[in-house]
Amino acid sequence: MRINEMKKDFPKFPCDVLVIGTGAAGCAAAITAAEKTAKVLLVNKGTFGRSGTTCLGSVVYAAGLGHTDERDTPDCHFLDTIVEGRYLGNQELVKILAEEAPRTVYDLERYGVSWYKRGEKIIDPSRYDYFQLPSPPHRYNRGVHQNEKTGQAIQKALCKEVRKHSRGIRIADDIYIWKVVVNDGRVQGALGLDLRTGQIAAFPCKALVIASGGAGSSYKVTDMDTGATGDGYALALDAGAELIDMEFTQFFPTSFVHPESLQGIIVATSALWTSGLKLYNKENQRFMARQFPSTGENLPRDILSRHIFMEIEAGRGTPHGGVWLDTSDIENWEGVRKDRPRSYMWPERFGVAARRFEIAPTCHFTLGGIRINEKCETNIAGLYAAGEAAGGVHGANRLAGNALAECTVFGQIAGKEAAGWRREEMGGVDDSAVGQEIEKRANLFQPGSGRGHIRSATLVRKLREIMYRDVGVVRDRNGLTRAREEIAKLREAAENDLEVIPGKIFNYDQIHAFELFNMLDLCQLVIQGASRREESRGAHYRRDYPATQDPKWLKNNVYRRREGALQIETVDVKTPYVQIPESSGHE
Amino acid sequence: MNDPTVRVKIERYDPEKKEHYLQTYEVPRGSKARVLDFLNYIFEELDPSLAYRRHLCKARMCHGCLMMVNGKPRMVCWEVVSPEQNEITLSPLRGRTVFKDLVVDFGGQELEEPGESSPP
Repeated sequence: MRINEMKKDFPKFPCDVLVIGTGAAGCAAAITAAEKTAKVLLVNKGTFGRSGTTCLGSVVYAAGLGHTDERDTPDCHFLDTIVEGRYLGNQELVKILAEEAPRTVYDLERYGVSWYKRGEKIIDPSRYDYFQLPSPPHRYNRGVHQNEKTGQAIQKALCKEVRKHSRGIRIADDIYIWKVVVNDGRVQGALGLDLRTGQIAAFPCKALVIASGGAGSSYKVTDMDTGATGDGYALALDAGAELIDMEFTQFFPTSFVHPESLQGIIVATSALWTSGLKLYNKENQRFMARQFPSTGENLPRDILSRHIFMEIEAGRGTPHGGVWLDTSDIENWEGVRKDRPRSYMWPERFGVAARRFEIAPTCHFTLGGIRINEKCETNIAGLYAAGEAAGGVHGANRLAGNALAECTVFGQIAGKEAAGWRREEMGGVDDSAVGQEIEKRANLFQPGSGRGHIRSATLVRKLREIMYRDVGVVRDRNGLTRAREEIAKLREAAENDLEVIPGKIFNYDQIHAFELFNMLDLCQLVIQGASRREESRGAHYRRDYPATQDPKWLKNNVYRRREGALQIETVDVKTPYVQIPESSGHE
Repeated sequence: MNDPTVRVKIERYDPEKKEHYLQTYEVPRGSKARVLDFLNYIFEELDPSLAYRRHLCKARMCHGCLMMVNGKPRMVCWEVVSPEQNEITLSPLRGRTVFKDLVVDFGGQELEEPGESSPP
């Protein structure tokens, strides 16, 4: 069946609050909205409890509890986050993150997360109970954790809690949302494709929360879930909402490059960088120590990623295009291996020497996102965003453990605020508008039309290679221009020659075509933002502008689409709580 | 020297015709190591109509890639195809409703339109 035949008789599933995405942010939003008596529909394109990147969160959940180091407070957490974000973070949002994170630790424990407790040096057991790990550049031990399964434990606990609200929350798996319907600046609902029936379905709602995660899958090497295709950003932009800081993408320095099969999976978490991990190039030179004699490898993620990338680019990489990560000098290595099997089980299983791995940076986190205020509101009435889908918290770089905390803290706020619409009138997803949308999409591609010859998988692969090469860890004018031109050609190919196979039920070829168009839009937007920011700051490194430009670029880029054209507005950072020092540069 | 191939036999189900059938793919081994690599190759290079869960963590945490590998429930992101193996058989996770091919119902709720046989 062609898409444009589907517009007759599509089913409608009304709710008060529609939540897109079932990772930590989506689940937290659904729970809080249901507690406020809203009828929630929680949809995702995969399956509940098995979708999203939350389960991959490896160790720390940042919260300024001050249990392990009593010097720590939410104020310290606030300041560390602002400094690590190179002063671009939205101070109002960061304040909320720092102040609310400790409370969410207790919420998650109540839902079933078994945080590690400290078994020694307990002075006052009622206060000093959570075992908080160090995770530089957090100044103090701040990361509560359930060893290296923190993300998975949080996901499981939240899912269990969602299930308890069986009256308030309905879960719908295998729903791909491809349009947020807005009328007169107010959310009306969404349109989606039900993979199980192959039918278009409409989801009229009073408020809508986008919690669909990041866009790591637009990069060749990523540790994100393969579903992280940035759908939420594309939906929001199309709906008239604004995005912020999209030029910033965080890379994690140490992921496998060999065996190829494991590309992108993180090898060593940041705690190891402080305890003797060493990096070598193919000439067996410890290149980080050469440039940073006092710190060696013990540096923030962005700096480490950049130097690894440039070492490989300069032709001093390993046989499979990485650098060597050597564990020989790690104190108590056997203990680490035993305690943290998650990373180290892979080499054993895949027959790679366990002392030395070939590693390279992996796309880890989309720092920017949908622009929200303190209530998680966007500029569209009734449209909310939370978690990685939202932007503004991390600025130019992110601290370990802030992503999971962001998901719970802002998921809850989005859920509470969205529930506030429950007594309002239901949004109407009117049939003619739906018909138009379906027509528009049908003009892009028609499953089984036989008009094209290129598969979306082929175009996605090319897109990911371009993004990793030119719009990743290191950027410059030439690379960005080349990427823009090559992606424009991919778009042309997608519009003219894309072939999508016929078939209604679980036609992933069709879903990937939707995702492809989202990613093409998004990648062009990232390139434009990265080209505009002629400086280096945090995760955004311009080889042609290596210095941080203060105060010229102490600014956020805000992205919006008006009448089909992308606009980028550069706005000042507001500083209600902490003034920006004269130079915010790091390196 | 020719790249050796691995014979991947898949128990498929076409929900539109309500038909179960066995399909065999010859997949060049290349640098593939995990069963998931073989499935990805089949989907991306040979047959996009093959359905298996495509949105996955690929790192043993989401458990979304569970299926029967040679008759045993396995995560295909973790299951290695050893150099000695030249054939594997994949079928949907046992005990679950099969939606299509290797995609099963993991227990999310069915959508029912209000007013149409909706539960009390």
